[in-house]
Amino acid sequence: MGSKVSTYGDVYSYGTLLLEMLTGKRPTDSMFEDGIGLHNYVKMALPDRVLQVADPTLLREVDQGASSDQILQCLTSISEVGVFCSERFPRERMDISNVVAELNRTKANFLHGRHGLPA
Amino acid sequence: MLLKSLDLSFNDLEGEVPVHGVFQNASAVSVSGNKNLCGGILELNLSTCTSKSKPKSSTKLILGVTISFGFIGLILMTSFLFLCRLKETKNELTSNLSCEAPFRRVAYEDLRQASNGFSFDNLIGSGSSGSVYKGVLALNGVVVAVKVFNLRRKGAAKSFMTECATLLSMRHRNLVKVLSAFAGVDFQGNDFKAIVYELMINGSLEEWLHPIHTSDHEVPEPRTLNLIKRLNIAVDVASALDYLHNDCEMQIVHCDLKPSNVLLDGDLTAHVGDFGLLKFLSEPSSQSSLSQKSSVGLKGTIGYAAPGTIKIWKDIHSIIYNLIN
Repeated sequence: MGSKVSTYGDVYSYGTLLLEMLTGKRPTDSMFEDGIGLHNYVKMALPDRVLQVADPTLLREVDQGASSDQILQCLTSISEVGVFCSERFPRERMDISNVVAELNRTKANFLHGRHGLPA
Repeated sequence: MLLKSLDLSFNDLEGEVPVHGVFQNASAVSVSGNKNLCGGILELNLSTCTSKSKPKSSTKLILGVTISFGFIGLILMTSFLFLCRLKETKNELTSNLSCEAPFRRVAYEDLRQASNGFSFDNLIGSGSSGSVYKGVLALNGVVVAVKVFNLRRKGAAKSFMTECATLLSMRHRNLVKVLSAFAGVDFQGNDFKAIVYELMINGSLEEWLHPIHTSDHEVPEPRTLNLIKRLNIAVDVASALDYLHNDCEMQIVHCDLKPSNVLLDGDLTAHVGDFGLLKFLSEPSSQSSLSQKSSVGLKGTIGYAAPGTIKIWKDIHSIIYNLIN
C-alpha cells in the first residue's frame, strides 16, 4: 500500500491552522471528539453564523474602530479559505497561491474599510 | 533469415554506405535520392568517401556537442552528489561538515557556551527530533536558537541532513533563517548535530493561540493576537508555502505544518520552521504528488495531517499489531 506525499497535504494542514486561528480551537479539541471536526464546525456556520464560532478575542476589534460588518466580512472570507483548504478530497482544496491572493484581498478590504471609518 | 532487398531511396541520408551483407548486391539496394551518401560498392555509383570531408564544421560541431554534454554532465553530477548527500542517512559523518558554505562556522564549544552548557534554563522547546536552546553566540553577540538533534531517535540524522540541505538552498522572509550548523562530536566523543537559527523572540504561534496560564508569574504578559495580526500571520504562512510549492527549484512539501512550527519574530512576522520531515517532489508542476512507501504516512501530526495520511497511519498500526500477534 502506498500513500501520497503532496502539496495538497500541506494545504490541508494550512487550512486547519487557519481555522484554528479563526476559532481559537485546536483540531484535537475535545468538542470535536464526536466526529464533527473543526472543518465541519466552521463549514456549518457559513455563511452567516461565523461570529458564533469565531474566537471571542477577535470580536473585540469593534473597540478598535472596525464595524461589525467589516469584521463579519473578514471572518467570513477567512472561514471560506480555511474550509476550502481543509476539504476532505485533495482536488477540492485551494491552490496555495490562490490562498495568498484571496487573503491579501481580504486584508486590503478590511484595512480600507477600517481606515475609511470616522474616528 | 537474410535481408533480400533494401530500399533507402529519398531519405536524405548521409555517411558511408557499407559494403557487406545486402549492400554487396547493387540490384537489391536502392539508395537514390540520398545525395550525401558515399562509398559502398562501385555499382551504386556513389562518390568516394573522404574521411576528412567537411572536417572543419563537423569537428567544430562535435567539439561543441562534447563540451555542452560535458558541461551538462558536470551539472547533473553536482546535482546528483547534492541529492546523494540528502539521502546519506546512515553514514555517520564524524568530521565537522555540511551546511558550512554561506554560513559562519561554529565549534561545539561556541554552542555549549552560548547555551550555558545546554542548561535547562536555556531550553525553549523540545520535540521528537531534538531540543532547542536559546543563547548568545560569544563570537558576534547574536541571539540564536540552537536546535540539538536527538541522535538516539531513529531518523534524526536524516532529519538533520534534510533540514540542513533544504535551508541551505532556500531564502524567504517567511522561513526561519539559518545562521550555521554543526555536525561533529561533543566532549565525550558522542555524535553531535545542531542547527543554529536566528532566535524568534516571540516564540511560536501555538504559544499565542493557546497560552499556558501559570500562577507563578505575577503579571502575565497579555499575549493576544487581534484580527489583523492573525490575518498577517495567515498571509505570511501561505506565502512561505507558496514559495516552497511553486517557487523553489525543486518542489518542496513541508509535511508538518502546525502552530508550533510557525515562529514569530519581534514584529510578529511569521516564519515557518522545522523542516525535518519535508519531502522533495520531483515534478516541477504545482500540486503534483509523489508515490512514497507507506511509512510516509507516519509523518506529520494528528489533527493537521490530511485525512488520507491518518488513515495510512492507522493502517500501519494495525499491520504492526497483526505482525506482533
